[in-house]
Amino acid sequence: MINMDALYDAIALVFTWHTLMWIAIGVTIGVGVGAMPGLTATTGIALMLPLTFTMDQAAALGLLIGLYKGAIYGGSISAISFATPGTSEAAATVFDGHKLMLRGKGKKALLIALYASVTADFLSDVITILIAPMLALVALKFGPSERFWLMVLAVCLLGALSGSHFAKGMLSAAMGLFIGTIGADPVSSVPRNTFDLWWLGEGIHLIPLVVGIFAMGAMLEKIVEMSTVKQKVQRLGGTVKGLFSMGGEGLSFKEYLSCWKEISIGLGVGTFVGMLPGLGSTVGAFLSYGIAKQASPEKKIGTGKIEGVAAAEAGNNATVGPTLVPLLAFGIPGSAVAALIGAALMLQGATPGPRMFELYPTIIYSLFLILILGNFFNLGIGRIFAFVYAKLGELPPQVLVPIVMGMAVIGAYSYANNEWDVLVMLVFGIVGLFMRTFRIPEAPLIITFLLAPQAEENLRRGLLINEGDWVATLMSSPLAIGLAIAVVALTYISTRMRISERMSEIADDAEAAEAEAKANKAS
Amino acid sequence: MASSDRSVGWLRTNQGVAACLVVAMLGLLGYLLSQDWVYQQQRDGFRLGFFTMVSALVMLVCVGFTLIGKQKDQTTPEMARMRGKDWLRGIAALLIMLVYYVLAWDAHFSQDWVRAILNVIPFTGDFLIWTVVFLTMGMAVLGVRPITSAITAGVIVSFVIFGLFLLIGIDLPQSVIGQLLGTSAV
Amino acid sequence: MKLMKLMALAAMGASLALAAPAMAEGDYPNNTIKTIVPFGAGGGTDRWARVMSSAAFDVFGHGMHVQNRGGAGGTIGWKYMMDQKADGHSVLMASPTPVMAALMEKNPPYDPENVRIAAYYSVMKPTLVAPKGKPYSTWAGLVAYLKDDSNKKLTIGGTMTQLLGPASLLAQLGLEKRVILVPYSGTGKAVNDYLGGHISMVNVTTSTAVGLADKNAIVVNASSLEYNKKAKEAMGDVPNAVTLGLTPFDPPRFVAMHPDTPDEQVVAMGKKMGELLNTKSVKRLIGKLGEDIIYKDSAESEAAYKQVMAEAKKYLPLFQ
Repeated sequence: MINMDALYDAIALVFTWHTLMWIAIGVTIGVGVGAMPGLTATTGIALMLPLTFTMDQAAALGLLIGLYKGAIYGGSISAISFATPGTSEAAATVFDGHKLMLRGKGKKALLIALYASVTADFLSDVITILIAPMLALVALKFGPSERFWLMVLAVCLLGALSGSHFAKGMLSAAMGLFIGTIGADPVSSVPRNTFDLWWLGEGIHLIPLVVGIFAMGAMLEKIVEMSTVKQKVQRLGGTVKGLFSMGGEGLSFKEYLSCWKEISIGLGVGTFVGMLPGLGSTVGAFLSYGIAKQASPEKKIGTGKIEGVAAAEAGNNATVGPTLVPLLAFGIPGSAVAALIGAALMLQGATPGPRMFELYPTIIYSLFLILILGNFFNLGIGRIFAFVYAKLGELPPQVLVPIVMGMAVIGAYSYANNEWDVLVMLVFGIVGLFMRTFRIPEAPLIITFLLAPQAEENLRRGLLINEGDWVATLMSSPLAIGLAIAVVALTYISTRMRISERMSEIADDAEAAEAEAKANKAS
Repeated sequence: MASSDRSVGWLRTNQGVAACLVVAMLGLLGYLLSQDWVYQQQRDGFRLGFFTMVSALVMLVCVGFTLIGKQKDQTTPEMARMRGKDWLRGIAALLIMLVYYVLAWDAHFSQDWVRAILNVIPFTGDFLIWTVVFLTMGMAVLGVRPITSAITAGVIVSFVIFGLFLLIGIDLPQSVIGQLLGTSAV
Repeated sequence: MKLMKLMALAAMGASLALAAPAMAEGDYPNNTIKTIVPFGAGGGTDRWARVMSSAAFDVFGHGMHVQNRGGAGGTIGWKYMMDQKADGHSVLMASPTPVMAALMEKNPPYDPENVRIAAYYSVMKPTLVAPKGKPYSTWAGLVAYLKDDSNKKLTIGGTMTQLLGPASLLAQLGLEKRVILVPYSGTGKAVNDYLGGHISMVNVTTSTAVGLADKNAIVVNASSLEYNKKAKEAMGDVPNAVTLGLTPFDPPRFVAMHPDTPDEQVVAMGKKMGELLNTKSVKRLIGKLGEDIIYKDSAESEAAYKQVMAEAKKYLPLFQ
């Protein structure tokens, strides 16, 4: 089954200084691009693609895949250091990562992010290599109705992210739905909910939304905080010197192992989400984070735990390999990045598709080798970046806040060079500030914003295909029925859990009141 | 998390904020109901505004629950601390960012009046100059002293960002300095 | 090569600093050409622009500076082009997407017909794909199948632009009510649903169709153009709109310019684009990307554009 000659050829191609150098360059650029708010893996790869016109196969793939892996990890660095997700897939990392940073455990958070990313990425690559065709067949089973139920299931799973005030969590989700309906109707493409603004015709994009709510919101909050507590920074020199000294609490192997459950959840969720076209790594990260939070309530994920960082980061990096599954199996790119890597393969003379394994075995094996190798480069290069950024995160806020705000503007604009995106980002900055002040959780908003439009699109597509027959649309296959049952069961269980939580809270309150009464009596 | 400090005004409790939000949501619903597109029927039978209306109604219901819910008298520590002028400060910061963007990128949003103003200001569309100004001023206002260290930090950071973007191949607007460096493309 | 580019870049910077470019007849273009891509970096149009700009120095004597202006379905980029000076040094690498987006808008920010077209650089060939061995696996079979009212309606997936192809052919035969057009935001998602058996047929670009030809039947090519040699080998004889005696739907990729651009500049730019597309390296790279260069000069393009706009307007209501 394995074409040994081709494998040897691929090894000879990949293990050259030339190729290894380009993988290293790719990862370095990737981590750098990912760490800058607004710049994504897609932008980085698109900009580097012309460079590959004149490169050989292995070097071209090395550069692009390295960049991809680096960028997905890189987003977490600024998420942890400055509460500013470098890429939207790192938004879920902010919750626990930045809290760790504030407690002086930034280095620990950055390291668990790196190790969880690399572990999940590596294992998902292995899964991709071993069973890509099988995964692809599973993905095909998901038609409009199965996808609809999957989205509903995902939204239900994320009830855990709604925080302690249920109505506020739901409000956040509804806001996400409202923002998600801005743009073109999925069936007729007619613009809706655009407030008569032509530039909202295709809706609001994830990048300005995330940068606004997370980065801008956080920075505005810091400005407000600083204005209440006046303090002056006088010795910038000393702080800068401190940047280059090593130190800070690292991560022990035992702590890494203690996150096995979260990394496994991330691996499973990320692999599954990655192979379905159109979902992407942001959904992978949030879904994995939400499930991990629900799976072990005793770990108190969300209060600044390495497990939370591990779940989110494993969830987004595990999508990297599987994103290529539909491309390799059928020649259809499942994401923008996969389309670009497909283009790079075509430029190298290999048209992606089902016969790729027979026709261009050397290229396929090189691709697989680079997928695996890239992780090791990510590990080494990511560490260097992580230390530098951890130190940068310790800069006084008076210096950091203007820089991050400037970066947010540059990022929101550079992502598509659309001036209106800057305006959108700034508006969501004030929304973000309000949400932080009133403690409305951000996660449900992002999740429904991402998933609800897809759920709507699939539901309506299903209804269109079935000529308006709801039963046929919703129960089109055993898989759809299974997913529907899962949704009902999950809703039931989580409602029960919520009620019992409420009951125990009331009981606690009663006990406390009784104790208080006793104490009062005693005095 | 939430404290039930009664000393803060009613407006800062969950109930007070929710009351403001209810008014805002009713305004939004009223606006939506007055729009033609909401009622426009699509070929699959859905009205164009169906999902938007659903989300607006859910928002209203959630705000309603916050208004009358169990935690209605509580407030969040952040809300308790925020004063009116803090909100103004936040909005001012956003406006400054917008001005910085407009100047550094020469962005006029297809508005003739913005274009007219930009025409009389020197160095518009020069990323480096305006980023140095923005960063230095930002740091100085937030309390970095002496001013010289704010200027140094502003200049260094601007050039580092500019250099990094140049390396990756992303265009940042450049006029004067770009020509001096010979990196200006258009 | 690299050195030369750097030197040219430096020289350009110097010329900018020294004097405002003086417009003289005959030496057009006399400056870098701002090439606006109305999408983010990485899409199909972006790839065309970057490949073409890689050979621009040799043809224009100046560079093509690619600027991505993405957002709002390509309308941001188009609007940006309208905001530039009509001096012939800004061009838009357009595709049907911003045209459709403007047609859908109640108050569009521009009129997609009020534009100058320097050249077509490609024309898409909307290609209908069906499973093998079905009664509708051939065009004749499809028509017969749809004419028989006792058969179930068929579902066709694809992007809006692609779907307009078969929609227009079937509408000319009065059969548009017998199919359900299922719009998708990307070809990938549509092909995924088609391969999973959730829709009966899918309408795709040539390069995707070539990839599917192995295990599927290619039903019809809704454009007026023949496939290239390689595609023909993979797909066999496929009827197109002309051989069927129907009005074709030819969605173009084109170089658009500001409506006030002087005639001679539009024509000159069109010619230069033709030369650019004819260079060896561009031909080779575009070929490798699985795309076809189909060049039309400005006069031909503007005529063809009028026709395709009329077709699109006629059949867009089918989606609403």
